[in-house]
Amino acid sequence: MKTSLDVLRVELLQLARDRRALFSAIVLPALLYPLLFWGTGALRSVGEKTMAERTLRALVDLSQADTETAEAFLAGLVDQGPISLTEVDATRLKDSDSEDAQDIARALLRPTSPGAAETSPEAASEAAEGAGDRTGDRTGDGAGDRPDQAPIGDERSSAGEELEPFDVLIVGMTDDAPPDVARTSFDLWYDVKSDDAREAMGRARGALRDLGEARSAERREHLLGGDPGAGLAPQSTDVASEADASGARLGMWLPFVVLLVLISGGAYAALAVFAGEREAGTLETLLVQPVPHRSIAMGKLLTVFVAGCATLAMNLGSLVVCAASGLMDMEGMGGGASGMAYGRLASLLVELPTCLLLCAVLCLVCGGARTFREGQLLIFPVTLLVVIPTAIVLRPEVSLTALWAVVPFSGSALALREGLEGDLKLPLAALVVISHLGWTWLAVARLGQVLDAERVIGGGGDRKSEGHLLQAGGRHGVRWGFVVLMSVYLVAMSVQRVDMDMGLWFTFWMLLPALALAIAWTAPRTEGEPRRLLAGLGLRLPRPSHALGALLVVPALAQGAQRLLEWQSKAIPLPPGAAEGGLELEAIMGSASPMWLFFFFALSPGLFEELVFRGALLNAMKRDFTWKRIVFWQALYFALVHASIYRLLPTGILGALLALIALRSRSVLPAMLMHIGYNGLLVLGTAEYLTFTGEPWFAYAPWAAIPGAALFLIPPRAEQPHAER
Amino acid sequence: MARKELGESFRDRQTLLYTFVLPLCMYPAMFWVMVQGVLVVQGQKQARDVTVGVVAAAETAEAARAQLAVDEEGKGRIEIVALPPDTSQQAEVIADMIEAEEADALLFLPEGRSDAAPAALFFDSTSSQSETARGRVIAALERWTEELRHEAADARDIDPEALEPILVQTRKINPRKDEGALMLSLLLPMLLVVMCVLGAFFPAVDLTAGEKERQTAETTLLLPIPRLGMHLGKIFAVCATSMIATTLNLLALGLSAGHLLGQLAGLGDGAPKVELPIGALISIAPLAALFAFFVSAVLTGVASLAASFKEGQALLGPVQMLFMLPAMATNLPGMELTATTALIPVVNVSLAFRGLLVGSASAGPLVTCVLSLTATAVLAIWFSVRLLSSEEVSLSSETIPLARLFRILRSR
Amino acid sequence: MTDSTSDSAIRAEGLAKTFHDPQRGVVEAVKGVDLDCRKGEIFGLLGPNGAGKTTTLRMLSTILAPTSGRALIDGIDVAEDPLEVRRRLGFLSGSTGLYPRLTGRETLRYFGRLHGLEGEDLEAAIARAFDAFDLHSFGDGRCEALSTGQKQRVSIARAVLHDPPVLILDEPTTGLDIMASSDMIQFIDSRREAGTCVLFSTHILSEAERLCDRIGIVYDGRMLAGGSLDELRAITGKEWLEEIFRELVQRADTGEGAA
Repeated sequence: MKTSLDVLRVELLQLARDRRALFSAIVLPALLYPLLFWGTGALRSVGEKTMAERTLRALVDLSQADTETAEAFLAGLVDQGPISLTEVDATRLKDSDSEDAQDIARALLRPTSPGAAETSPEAASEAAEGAGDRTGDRTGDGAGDRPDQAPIGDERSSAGEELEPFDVLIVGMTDDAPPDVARTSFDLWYDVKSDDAREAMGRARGALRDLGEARSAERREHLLGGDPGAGLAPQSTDVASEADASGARLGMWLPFVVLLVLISGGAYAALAVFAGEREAGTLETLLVQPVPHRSIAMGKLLTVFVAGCATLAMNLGSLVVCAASGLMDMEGMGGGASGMAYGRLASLLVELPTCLLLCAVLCLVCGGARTFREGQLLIFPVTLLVVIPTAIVLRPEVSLTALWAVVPFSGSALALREGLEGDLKLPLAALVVISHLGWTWLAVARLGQVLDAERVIGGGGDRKSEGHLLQAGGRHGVRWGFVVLMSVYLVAMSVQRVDMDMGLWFTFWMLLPALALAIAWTAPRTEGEPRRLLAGLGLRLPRPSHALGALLVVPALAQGAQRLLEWQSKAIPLPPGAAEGGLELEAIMGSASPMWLFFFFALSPGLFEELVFRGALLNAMKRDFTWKRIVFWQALYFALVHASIYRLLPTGILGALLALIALRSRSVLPAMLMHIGYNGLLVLGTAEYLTFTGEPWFAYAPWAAIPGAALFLIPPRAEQPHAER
Repeated sequence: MARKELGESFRDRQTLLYTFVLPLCMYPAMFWVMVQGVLVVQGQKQARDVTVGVVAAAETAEAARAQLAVDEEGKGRIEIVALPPDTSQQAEVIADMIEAEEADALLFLPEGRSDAAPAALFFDSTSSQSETARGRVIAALERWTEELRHEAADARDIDPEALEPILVQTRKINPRKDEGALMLSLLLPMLLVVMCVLGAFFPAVDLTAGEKERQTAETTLLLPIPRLGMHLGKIFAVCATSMIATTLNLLALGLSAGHLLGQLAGLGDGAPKVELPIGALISIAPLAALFAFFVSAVLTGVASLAASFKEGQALLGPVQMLFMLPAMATNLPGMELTATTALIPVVNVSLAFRGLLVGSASAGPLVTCVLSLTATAVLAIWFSVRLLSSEEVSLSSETIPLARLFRILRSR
Repeated sequence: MTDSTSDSAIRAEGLAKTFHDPQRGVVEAVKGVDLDCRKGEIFGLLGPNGAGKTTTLRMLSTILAPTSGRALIDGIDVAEDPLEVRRRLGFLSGSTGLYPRLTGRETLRYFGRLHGLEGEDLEAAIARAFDAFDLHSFGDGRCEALSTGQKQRVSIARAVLHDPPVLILDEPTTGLDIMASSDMIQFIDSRREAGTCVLFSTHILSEAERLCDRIGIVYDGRMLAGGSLDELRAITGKEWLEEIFRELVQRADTGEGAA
């Protein structure tokens, strides 16, 4: 501890003496962040104001609407904001079916649009007519009078002119029913991509909503003699105090500010104390001092923490001062004009362990960097790593639960928000603090290794250091696993989106085998070792008993998966609608033939996913990793490659099991069999093609797992005595 | 020269990693986390049970229970707790009840309903549970109202539709993918500017200040090639890195946005269809290239003032901000590429890209934009070459304060 | 030449270090080095770049853990009690830097504290170092403003502040100008009287010739020969160190070729 304090003191002294950096890393953000937040708020309100004041151009055809309704609507529309109205004849629009209508409406709104001319020349010429009718323009003067009918005939004179597009096309039509039950429908056509059009549509809809409510009330009075549902529209009262409400709004962005500011201050310090030391060439000296490397690292962590917290304190100070002196528009910043409860800022204490965690992460990252430059590049990913979980505070429907409390960064951010809202519960706060201290401890435990000389100095550079390279094979596997993951995400899924069949062919029969070959081909070898491709892919003949065992386990596995999914649907329920929308697969399953299903969803994945994961990757990792690490990576990658949080757990478990089987049998083939069987049973079972799953005897099938597992007790074939060199 | 500089910076694993690998991995990862997060949060929200206290006479309370506590597939229930009718309607009392979690929201249903004495709903906007309860109660009450009205209309033999005399339908003149384009138009232009700047940042510092720090500047000056060629070479190298980084970023974002957002389809009223806007990307390429030249030249020029990598970074930080802020401003509604905005650097590229994405850009302003960008790029290159070739700058071992910048530019 | 273990300050037996390299596979940087260095003796490790000198010294100074073999510093095993070894060790290399924003005095104080010196002991040690290395004129200025020679003096003062019985110097004169390296050589020479054991590596023959009581010739991760200059002359039959070196390397190469 004494050593750590010595280190802390000296490091702080050095930091404080670097004036220029001190200014740019600590003082500047203190000025910049308030400015930024105020600036964005101000910009947004300016934007909203400009839009509200803008004069918009509307095309209207109310010729078939009853006069009184049309006039009431126009009056309401003009009240919403400045708008210029132009009468147009949109009869063609009413008669056309939906697809043509879109083109016609587009032609009317965009008089000179060449795109429209291609699709529908008549519509375009008609549009020119409509646009020519400019005599009917008027700008929000008095309500009541209808737009003048446009004189026909002089429209060609303006043909060469650049014509401004209209923002919204309003078509009103009253049906033929007797007046007391007649209904008027309004179609609002607009261009979703234009800011003006969206604003114009919003105004028109606002006017119509008001009108509709008034008319509906009249109708109820008239037809029903009163509203039977009267009094059921509740008057909502928010019992949250002003302080609570402003706390809630503050809680939406304060967690971000805290972490971002901490990063800007802490990252600089972390770079200075780790990378700076290497650049100055003092690290070697420091490492031969008679103190444990761990306490040096701790001292440096404390330095980073102090520097970060100093930055944070300055920023919060400047925020509070700005807010208190009214310099800053708190409304614009979402803080609430009057109700900021400064006392609640005490809940920032919950963030302290998180700050320590962040500092530890920064130290880990910067400690690995050899130069300032390298370290600097790593700061951005760290920022993302921190900001994404923090973003949970933007969802007001999420509240702090025991589950969220242990998620790093998310838990503390939610706790801070609830603290600002004034309803943070102490046990949860304690859980947040404890769990974040736990995460910090994990990070700190690794911190000693940052100064591990083998890694830092090694045999003349990181590339040759022992700890780093002993595991060349493992690293190869991990790195390529990542490549597989990304190519499946980026390439395979893109192709599948274009065409499902082609995408599946491409993924399973081209991409995955190519990746497997690439991994096995580039696997690291010791000097003079021959390249053994088949072994690298795990393609060895297993004991038949192992293959049989793998098959026997399948029914139990499938049943387990179903149980797991049932449980999961309670723990993390799937939002309604997500299932049918997201997983197009399910739609396909209903319609596809069993052969097709079996081929694409059982056989192909079984063969090629195994070839890549349990074949190439596993064999690369096997060189250096212990079996536990292999299983971990296999489970992780296999879960992630399936790209959905709802499949994370089942696929992770499956990946781990398959990895175990592949390791035990020293071959990829049993894993392939098991995978094919498992997928086949699940896929075909869900699509109800396998009738025998309903038979009574099938209920006993899972028990086959016991002899199946027992078969794996038989030792695998011995490794071939290859390459005695 | 440019090739040599490029080769040098790409041999550095770190640069490679951050130019190529990071963008390709970051966006998918980011989208994945976001999408999965939304799914989980949404799922949990909808599956959550809420408790609503109903304050009404026994009969009304029963009716309310029948109406409100309806089971729906995949959704959490509304538990109804009947409370005595004399419960106080004072906000503090109710706040205490909600605080104590006796009920997530309180609904008062007065006897003899009328619009004069409507139902009252109390909730706490800062509690997510209470917010959910409020949403469900309001929806249930609306359903109930609707039902009552229909019954009344049926009793009188009136078409219930006649009760709503005004129908509104908003219709878009665009195909579905335009909405995706709109979404991208809010993201990509800013990303274009930000990535251009970030991509040029490190090579710019590395090739100027970094070179000074490594003390290879003098060696390079001794090479038998014209100085101008060398300086231009540096700018080209910076520019190329920046362009590659930008392209990869835009591509990765476009690709990953597409299928990952697809998972959200079915939530709400359907996620927009996002397609990789290849046409817009190709048409923005020349503008982006000009812009990259502009950025690289400015950054290289400024960075050449610094004596070490660290100081170069400190110097470029504020300059970076100068680029980012205008880019942010272009996302304001109502900003469009016009003859005027086409003249303002940074803003014009961003707006032009936005215009191209949504298909609203017209030829006139685009041409202005090209001209203005060319002019600014040439100016920036001149400025930068001037600085780089000044002896004071290239051989100085200290960082030159910005104040002396103008003197250097004026000399010679 | 008595070979008693009792006054041996540095002892290495079969010290070896292996790295793994993806391109070259297993790299044996040091293939087994034996050396024995007594108190008050200056031992020079002589060899070309990449011979394994630095790795050997790093293993002896506990920075790297040996793959096999064993090393004792002042009778203590480097693998078993690295902290105790470091306490008895002064380490310095030609590329050693100083914290640019600390003054010389602060640097000494910092490292003194890390060595467990405190209070008056510490101040007394610093005062001694200031006198011994004549730091008074610049010892209170920031290190970044010092000349190379001045920096070197602060570095040396830092390395011997706790009066270590063993000094390990890794190419101490590399990168220094004439004056600074001459200072360094004088300093090494002066430690002989103080009874310190100095082990240093170099590839400059004249330095070794002038300073060392004994010289070890390292080539390709092996100690080819070790002993006083006269002993080496006797082994090779050559007069000058340069010739001796050549002869030994040649023998090693042909010997390897035959094996």
